[in-house]
Order: sequence, then structure tokens, then C-alpha cells
Amino acid sequence: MSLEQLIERCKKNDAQAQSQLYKLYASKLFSICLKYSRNYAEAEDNLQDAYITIFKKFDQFKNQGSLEGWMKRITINTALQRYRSAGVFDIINEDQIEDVSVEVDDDNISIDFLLNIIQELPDRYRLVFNLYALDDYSHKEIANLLDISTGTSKSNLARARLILKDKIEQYKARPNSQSL
Amino acid sequence: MSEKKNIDKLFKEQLKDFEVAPPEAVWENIEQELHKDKRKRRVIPIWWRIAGVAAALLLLFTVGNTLFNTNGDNTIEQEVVDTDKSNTNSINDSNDVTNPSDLNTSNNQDKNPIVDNDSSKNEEGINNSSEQLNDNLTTTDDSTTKTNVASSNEDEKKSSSKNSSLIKNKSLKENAVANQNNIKLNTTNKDKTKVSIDNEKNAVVNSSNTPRSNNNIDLNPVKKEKSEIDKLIKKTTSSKETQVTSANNSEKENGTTTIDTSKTKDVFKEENAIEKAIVEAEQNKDEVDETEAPIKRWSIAPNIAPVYFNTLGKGSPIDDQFINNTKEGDINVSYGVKGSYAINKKLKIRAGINKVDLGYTTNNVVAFSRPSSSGSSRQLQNIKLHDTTTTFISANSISYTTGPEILFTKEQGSIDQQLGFIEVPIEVEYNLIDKKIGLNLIGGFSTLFLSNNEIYSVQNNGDRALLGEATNINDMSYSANFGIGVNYNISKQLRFNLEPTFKYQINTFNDTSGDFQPFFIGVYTGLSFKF
Repeated sequence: MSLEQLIERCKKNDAQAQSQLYKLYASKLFSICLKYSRNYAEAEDNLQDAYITIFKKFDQFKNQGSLEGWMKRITINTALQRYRSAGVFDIINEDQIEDVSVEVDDDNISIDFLLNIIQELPDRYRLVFNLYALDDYSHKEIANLLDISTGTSKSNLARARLILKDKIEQYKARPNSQSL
Repeated sequence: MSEKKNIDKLFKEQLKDFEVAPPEAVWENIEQELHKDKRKRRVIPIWWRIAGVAAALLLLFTVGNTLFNTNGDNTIEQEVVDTDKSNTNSINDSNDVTNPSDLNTSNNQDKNPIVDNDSSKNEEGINNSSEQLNDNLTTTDDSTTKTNVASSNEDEKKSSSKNSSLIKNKSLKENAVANQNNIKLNTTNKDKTKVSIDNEKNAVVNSSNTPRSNNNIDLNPVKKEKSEIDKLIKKTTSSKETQVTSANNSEKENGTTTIDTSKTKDVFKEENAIEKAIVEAEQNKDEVDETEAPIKRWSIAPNIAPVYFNTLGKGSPIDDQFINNTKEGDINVSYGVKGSYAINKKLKIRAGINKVDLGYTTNNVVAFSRPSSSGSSRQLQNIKLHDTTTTFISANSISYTTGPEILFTKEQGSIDQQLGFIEVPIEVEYNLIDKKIGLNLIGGFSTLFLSNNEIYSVQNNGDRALLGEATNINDMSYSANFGIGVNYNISKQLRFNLEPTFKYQINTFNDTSGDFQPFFIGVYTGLSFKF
């Protein structure tokens, strides 16, 4: 079955096609969910909600652009929606810091570790870092998406980077000290 | 070996091909959720089908009932004509033909009630000739019937003493009486005959018994026949009224109990009684007509109503972020027509079709434009926007301190959702008070077919622009209806209605945010015409 056929059948709520579509993109979308969520369980919920939205609104997919991109956007939006309704982006009185460039040593760092430290970030930092650094959203877009100002977006990104850097350095210091 | 690297780049490269298979349970949950939805959708069509079947049965019943009623009237009228004719015929026959065996025609048998009547009177008139009659009968075929007896009696009488034209007149009058008895099996017989029991039986037995008595005569020897005829004559002479006599004639048991040895009466006197009976019967018939005529079961009522739309819960049909915004239901107009059928004086079933417009405004919404090149889609959950460059967010979620950008471009306004439905209500109306001013309770269901679905952006300066349409409204939905009707009977045909009705919508939205339970209230006013 070609992707076009699969799309057509999904639009008709064909159960078999839906199952196939799920399998096709589940791993990719689940990795997005993991990055945007606090933990594995939340990511599961997120993936579930995202797919339900995808299937329910499948007729809105107009074959413009890639299906994968469309599904990714829905998945990200689903993740953001969760925090939006939870009031994560309510005003926090903190000083906005400058956008800083952070550099770290490029050693063999496991993906699991990177994922872990992303999930450990405070929600508003994690989302901005994900959107900007990993999914190529602009600060303006992020501001719109999260109902925050671009200034806040930039500040949150900078703080995220600093926290991540600290964690990586701590991680590196530990095996080193052990090996000494 | 380690070199300094931009942290963003590090994460991006590392996570580029990062894929994790989700646990099986996720797909199971999704499947369940999708199926649950299907199940939900299936349940309501079943209800709809049941309602459809009920409506069809009702229609069938009412149409059938009216058809049946008119048919009944027709056949009765025809009978009147038939019996009139055939009876005069039969009497003519009997006048012309003197041989009793020839008189045994099917015509006579069919018209036995009338002929029986005749016979009884005739027999009364000629109790002297009973012996001769017996002789006649014993010489006739086995198939000789009571009606034959009657006819022969008549002949005998005519030949001996009576004026035949008088008898003919009499029999014709009796025809009329009998016919009326046929039409309204009650009352007339009752009045006429002092014996109030078995009027219907009388008629029925009359028509059905002739062949039976035939059989009897067939089977029994002449002797028995003779004795039976003796009995018969006795009966006829003794009974006062013709109907009773015929009943007795046809039913042996009855006959034996009511046999009396009273004296014969004058034909003249009896005639008076019959004339009286005819008058009474006619009166009765009129009365019956009067009581049946005014029941008008059908009515049709055009109506118009202001309708107010709102929600019981706190929620938004548009997006999560608007749950806490202030919202207002609009007042719109619904109009249409209803037809109703009165099952009885208390209960009416009614169905109709209405156009309903509903409106709902979400306030404190900030709209701002953003570059169309933007790749992200920050869309409202349940709206398909025509213009995707405008973003709407709830003013409640904007922090005025966080940034100036939004404030520069922001324009606060509202989102106005306009829905139009074709409503098909099926309701039951129960009369509490049925006077000049009446009161009734109304309950039922409506099926709503979506006909209009628009969402407008309304700015504070009054600008109104079509945004798009809602994606979460079902093409077909339902409502449970409760109402109180007040009506004023202007005339027998015309009635003024005022019906405040609450309609709780079911399955209108398939995905709402928060607790959104829509309903609408309409005050339906109109005139109904009975027919």
C-alpha cells in the first residue's frame, strides 16, 4: 500500500489503515513525546492523545507538505497543550537573561543521558529548548505558541542551555573522578 | 579527545535519529478510544431508527384509522340502499308468487331481519291461519326457512284479509328502522324493544341463523319441523315487538323463555309503535352523528420563537484556553410548523420541522496577525480557519508584563459562533387543563441537522469578519425537549399557543473543552388549526 492509499483509507476511518499508519510513525513521534515530556509515562499519554487527534482530524490533512511534518506538529501541539492548560506559562517574575552561546566538550555522551537531562529541565525551559534547538522554531513562533514574549523565549532558552551544560559537566566529572 | 561544541548542535546531532518504540499499550488505548467513539455514534442511530419506526407506525395507524372510518361509513350507506331495494323486491316477489317453495330465494335469506319483522307482524295478524301455514311448510322443500315461513305468512295473510299495500308500506318503514339498527347497533333497538339485551346478537343471529335453521330443517323430519314452526308462530304472536320476535325466532332458547300466552295485538296498534320507533331511531341517529362529528384529531400549527442558546457547564466549544473567558448566548429566531394528532382528549403526538439559529459569543479574545511564512501552526483546537495568519488567544492568558510585542498588535474582541440547524421534533403533549384557556406538558426529542456553521471574529470597534467554521460539530445531533404549553381557544378550529420549551442538546459537539453542555430555550408562539 502506498502512502497515498494509506492516507485515503485513513480519511475513511479504515481501522486497518489506522493501525498501519500508527506503526509507521509511532517510534518517531514517541521520541518527540519523550523530549517534550517530563517522563516516560507522560510521553505515553502524549503519544496517545496525539494519535487520537491525528485520526479524528485526519480529513484536515490536505496533502500539502509531508504527512510526517503534519503529524509531528500535532504531536508537539498536543504536548504544549498539556502545559498550556496546566498554567505552566503563567507569569514568573524572574530576570530575563541574555541569549548566551554555550559550548561543551563533545565526548561520547549517551542519548539516554541527554534525554534524561532534557526531561529534568523545568517545563518552560524544556519546551523552549526543544522548540528552538531541536525543532527549528523561531523565537517569534515560540512566543506565539506558548503565549509568551520573544524576550521570555530567549531568556528561557539561555537558562535551559546553562542548566544542560552544568549537568553535562557534572556527568563528565563523575566518571573522571572515578577513573582517577 | 574532546573539543568544544555548541550545546544546541550537540543535542541536535545526538538526537537526530533518536527513535523509541512506544509500548504496545499505547496503541491498544488509541484503538479503544477510536472504537468507543464509533460505539457512541452507533448507539444514537439506533435510537433514531426506533423513533423512525414509531413515527411510521403512528402514521400508518392514523392514516389507516381514518381510511377505515370512512370505509365503514360508505359500506353502511350502501347497505341502506341495498336493503331498501332488495326488500321491496322481496316483498314484491312474495306478493307476486304464491307458491311458498319458490319464495325460498337467497335474497330473502340475506334480508332476514326485515323479513323476520314482517313475518312476526304478519303472523300476528293471521294467527287463525296458522294451521294452513303449517301445512304449507310441511309440503315445502327441506330447504324451507323461517324467512320463507314469513313470506308465506305474508302471502297467506294478504290473500285472506289484509291490504297488501299497507303491508308493503309497513315493511318499508321497517326497513328503515332495521337499517338504522344496522348503522348504530345500539340505542335504537334498545329503545324500540323493551328487551334491552342482545341487540347485537339479535342482528347477528338474524343474519347467521337462517342458514342454520335451514340445516335444522334439512336434518329433522317433517314432524319436528312442524312442531318448531308451531312454536315459532306462538312466539310471534306473543311478543310485542318485531325485533324481539325475530330474535326469538332465530334462537330457540330465548324463545322458550320468553314465550307468553298474551293476546294478539292489532296490526294498527303495532304500526303506531313502529312509526314511533322510526322517529326515535331517527332521533338517535342524529344524536349519534352529533356526538361523533366534533372530534377533530388533526391540527397544524405554524410557530415562531425567540431562542436563547447557552451552556449548563463551564466550557468552550472552541478551545481550551477560552474555558475561563466570559461567554454569552445570543438570542436568535426559530420558526417552523408542527402537525399533531390527538390520540385521545388528553394526549397528542406531534411532529414538525423548524429552522433554528443559535449563536454563542466568547469574549476577551485577542487577535493578532503573524507572518504568513511562519511554519508553526498555532490553531484553535476546534476551528478550521480560512485565514491562518491570524492567531487568537484568550486575553486571560496574556501577561501584560511579559512582552510588548503582543500588546502592540493586539486587538481585543470576541469570537462569535453561529450555528443553524434544521430541527425535526417528535413530541408528546399531555393536557392538564382543557378549557377555554388550556395548559399542557410537552416532552420529546428533536433531531438537529446542521445547516449553518460559521465563526466570526468581532472586534471592539464592531468589525466583523468570517473566520472559518467549527470542526467539532456533528452533522446530526439530538435534543431532549421539555416544555409547558399555554393555549387559548379562539374558536373550535383556531387555537393560540405559547410554549416555553427547554431543549437540552445531545451529541452536538464531538470535542469540546471543559464542561460544555449546550441547551437552548425557545418560547414558541403560534396558531394551530384543527381539522
